[in-house]
Amino acid sequence: MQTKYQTKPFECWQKAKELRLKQWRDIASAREHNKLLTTGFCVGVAPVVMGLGDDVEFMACEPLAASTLPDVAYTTQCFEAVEARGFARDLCGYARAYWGNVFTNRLPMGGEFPRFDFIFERHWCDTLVKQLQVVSEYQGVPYHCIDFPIGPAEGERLELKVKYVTAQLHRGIEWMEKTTGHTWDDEKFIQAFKNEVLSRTLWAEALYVNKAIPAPMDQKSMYPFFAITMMMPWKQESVDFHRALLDEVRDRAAHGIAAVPSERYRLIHEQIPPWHFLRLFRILENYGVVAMGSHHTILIPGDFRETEEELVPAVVPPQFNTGFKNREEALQVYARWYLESPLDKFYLSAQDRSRLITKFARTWKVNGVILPINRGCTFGGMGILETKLALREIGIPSVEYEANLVDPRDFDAARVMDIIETFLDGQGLKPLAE
Amino acid sequence: MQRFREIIEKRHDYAREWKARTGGKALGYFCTYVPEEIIYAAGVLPLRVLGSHEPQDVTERYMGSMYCPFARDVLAQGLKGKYDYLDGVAIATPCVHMRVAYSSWENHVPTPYKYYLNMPGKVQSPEAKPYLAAELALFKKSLEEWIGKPIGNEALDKAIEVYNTNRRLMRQIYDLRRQSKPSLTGAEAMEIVLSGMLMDKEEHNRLLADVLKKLPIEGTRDGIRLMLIGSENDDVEMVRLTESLGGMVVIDELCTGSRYFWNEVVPEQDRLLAIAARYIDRPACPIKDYESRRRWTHITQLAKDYQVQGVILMQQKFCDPHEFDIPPLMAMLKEKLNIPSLFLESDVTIPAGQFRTRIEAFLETFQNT
Repeated sequence: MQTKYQTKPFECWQKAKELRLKQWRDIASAREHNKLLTTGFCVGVAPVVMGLGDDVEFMACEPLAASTLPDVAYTTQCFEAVEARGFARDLCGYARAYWGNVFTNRLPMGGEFPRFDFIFERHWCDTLVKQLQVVSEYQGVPYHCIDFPIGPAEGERLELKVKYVTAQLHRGIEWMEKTTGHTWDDEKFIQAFKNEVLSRTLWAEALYVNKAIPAPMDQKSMYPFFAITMMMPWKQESVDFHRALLDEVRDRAAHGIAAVPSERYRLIHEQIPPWHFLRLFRILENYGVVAMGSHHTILIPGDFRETEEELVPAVVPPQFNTGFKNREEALQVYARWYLESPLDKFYLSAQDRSRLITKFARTWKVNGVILPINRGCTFGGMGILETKLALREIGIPSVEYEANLVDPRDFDAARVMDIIETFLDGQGLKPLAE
Repeated sequence: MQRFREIIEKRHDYAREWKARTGGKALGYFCTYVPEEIIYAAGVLPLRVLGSHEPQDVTERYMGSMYCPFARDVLAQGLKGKYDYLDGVAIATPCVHMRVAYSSWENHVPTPYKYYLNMPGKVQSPEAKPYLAAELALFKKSLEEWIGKPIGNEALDKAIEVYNTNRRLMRQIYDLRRQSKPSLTGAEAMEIVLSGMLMDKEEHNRLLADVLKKLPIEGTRDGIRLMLIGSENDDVEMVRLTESLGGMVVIDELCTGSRYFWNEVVPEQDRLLAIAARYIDRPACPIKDYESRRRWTHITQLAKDYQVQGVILMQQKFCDPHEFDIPPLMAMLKEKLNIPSLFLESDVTIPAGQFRTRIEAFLETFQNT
């Protein structure tokens, strides 16, 4: 293959693998070590639970689903187990992958599916709260949610939301104390919150450095790394890992070390990847195309804030340096942090999504965008077709394909590649010579 | 009964005439969590935006086909200009399907006033009422700016009374269906509810009072007593078909049915808190029914009160809120209440006749027992 830039494997890759395995082991052995085990959304739930002390483990929902999906045979067994219980095949793919593990009593990395002591969730996506309602009933374990309503959050409305969420957090803490018999410790929460925010802002920093041409990191190399941001961001090991990753990305950018040595075209493959068809990114490479990420690798694991033109890494709350006056202030800062995130806006409306996608395109200097209409996630599809119109206005070409990015039975790889390769051809790109 | 049907069939004419007659504005809402009382108190006609049950090809550019056909049909009506008389539209954090439809409506349908009300997801939280009341205050303020005058307590009290009267009258209508031989059909009851969503409630109240005077308490209708549960469903034809096959829809748990009017605003000094309490405490949509399953309790009570023998669960294709609830709900009906159920997946454009065989087979099972 023709190469323009030098490349080399990421040194952090091995460390990321070790951390992922350790996290799964910590979850699987929680009971053996007399630890409490709970589960919930991968963003912003764990710090609240960690207030209960060091003897708590948290299984983030989305990494379990994502770890399940690349194995087509295993995934199909999971989905069939869910369908045998009467659930529809067009339900959220991540929910079905998660349930499949629960119903077949196993984990993709081996061993039985663990029983939770309680389930603590924040309502953000409607699907997630219903998904875990079913799990709580199946396992017979108590369930509590904090509502972060999706909706406008500017000015006075943001303040109302902060007050609403904070009040619920106080109640949620009482509920956890009563349910577990543990005392909730402000300092444990604050440390976990700081670690999570640091992990997420460091990830954002690494992506921001990734603006460099050639891009030091491409979409497929992001997945093993951002799994740490998704699975265990509240842990000190995660912060340390993200610092090391940022250093490495900076070093690669400084020395012109590319993720894709033939880089000549940058695109966004929006949404989650087709987990059962990650080969897609290798095929793109063969065209000299580097995939720069998607909202799934940018906004879900990363804490960004918007400027007029682009996205920039968020600055941590000042209280991280000055200290929190009391629990009330700590909870308010926590609530505000997530409510102000562009992540919420992304799922709110076509207008917000369009604005953010055009900022992705500007920030990472992309030439084109692939917009998968993912049948496996209605929440994530909010306004995606409208973004095509917005991209057109700023002169960025895009192409959409409809498929289920989660369910291999509803994904026609040949058809998808036909669409993408036709698009690339239209962009003047031919496969590079071997 | 004819008048209710006319309102549904000529809903746009009705709204235009109402505007011409009163000089008032009309506001379309996409979900029954929008607090109509406040809109009504502003002198604005609130009406629910419904679909047409006709095939359409205008939403494909904006909404993926994995969104529910009802939501797409609603957007199609806007794109086709059927609601060009609307002065405003509003939603109150509904399911993602309706949010997608609303979002594209905002982009492509030139309705002058638009409002997104933050409705709590977790209605079981004690914090939900004060939060919603505060959001309602902002909605009221926005309406006041739009109409150019304040909405006073007197207007709110009157609106609450009009709506509560409507709910009481609707409950009386539904009570008639508890009888062993009801005096009205399920299809007629659905038309009564739907027409109420499309017209001035005071006028609807007069029609309801008139119908109640005319309808005998005990009727002559007979059949397998059915409950209808599911997604947004304004498919009167489907109900009519079921009843022509020997079924008798005596109760529903639909947002186009009983959930719309079941509970009243309990008046209190803080009017907005009282309205908030009504919307928080109403029988919940599946997406708002967590952590505990309050829907199950409500459905169980309805089944008992209306002596339900069977349940038809009719879900819009791709309606994930109901897809999450239907399997455990069917299990609950069978295991706890010993009530058989039939699941039907619908698309607003599928003619009801396609369900004939399945409904017939379902009803036959009752004759064998």
